[in-house]
Amino acid sequence: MTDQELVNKVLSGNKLASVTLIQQHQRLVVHIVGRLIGNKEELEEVCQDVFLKVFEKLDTFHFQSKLSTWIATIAYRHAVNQLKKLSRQVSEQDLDKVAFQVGEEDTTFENENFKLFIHQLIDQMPMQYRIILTLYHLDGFSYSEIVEVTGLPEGTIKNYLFRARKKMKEICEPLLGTEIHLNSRL
Amino acid sequence: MKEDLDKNIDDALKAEFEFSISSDFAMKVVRNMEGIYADSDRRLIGLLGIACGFGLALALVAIFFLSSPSSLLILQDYIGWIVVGVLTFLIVQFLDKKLVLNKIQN
Repeated sequence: MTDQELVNKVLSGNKLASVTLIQQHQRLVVHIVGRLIGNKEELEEVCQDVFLKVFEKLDTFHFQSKLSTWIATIAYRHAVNQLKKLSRQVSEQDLDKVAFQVGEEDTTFENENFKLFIHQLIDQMPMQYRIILTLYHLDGFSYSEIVEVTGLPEGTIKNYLFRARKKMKEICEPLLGTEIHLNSRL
Repeated sequence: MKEDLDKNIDDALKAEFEFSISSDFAMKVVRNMEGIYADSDRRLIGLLGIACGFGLALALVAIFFLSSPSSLLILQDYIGWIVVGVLTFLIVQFLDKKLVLNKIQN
């Protein structure tokens, strides 16, 4: 089923199509909200609010972009608004000024632990880096789609991706073959 | 591992992170929507009740004024606008409700 057929069915009142639309996009919304809010307790509630907004505004969607990009934009804006409500940092921060911490629990630096370690590094990055890394690597969004979602210029997005990876390598390289400290909260 | 660092970072970036939602999340959202519309229905009924009460009060006032022809002349200047206002309010509420419900109802 194409995006257009799905949207038309939802707008005509088909409940099954509504469920399908949510199931097709819930992973994307969870990625965006989870990465920005970072609170498992609030995650489901915020994701629900995102989908309620999606259905509320669905009749204004005219397929000028992919449905997933449009939903991601709503999820991003809603998550940023939630962060503002919670008085958390949403303005642009310099990656170089972040003091990365790796936590408390001793473990070896291999396989699954490495993935966990990288995710913990991402969680400590400024908001814009977190969302760009997630959309680009995890959800396979193109630069132009990330521009649409975040409103950031394409050059900035490329620069953030480059700097984030460079920072991860800088942190990881000295730790290779050693023991690292993983934060137990993930 | 050092030489594979780039590849390992790539793999880690693509790895699903541990944020999960309930398996019946989609159904929950749809049920919530239905709940919101049901609440909205109840609000509409409440508003209709208020509007009807208001209309009834106006009718009683009008009947009262009918007993005094000179007062009726004063009332005539305003009654048209009051009726138009109430009717417009009711029509807008009704259309709004129809449009919202059409989106999701089976």
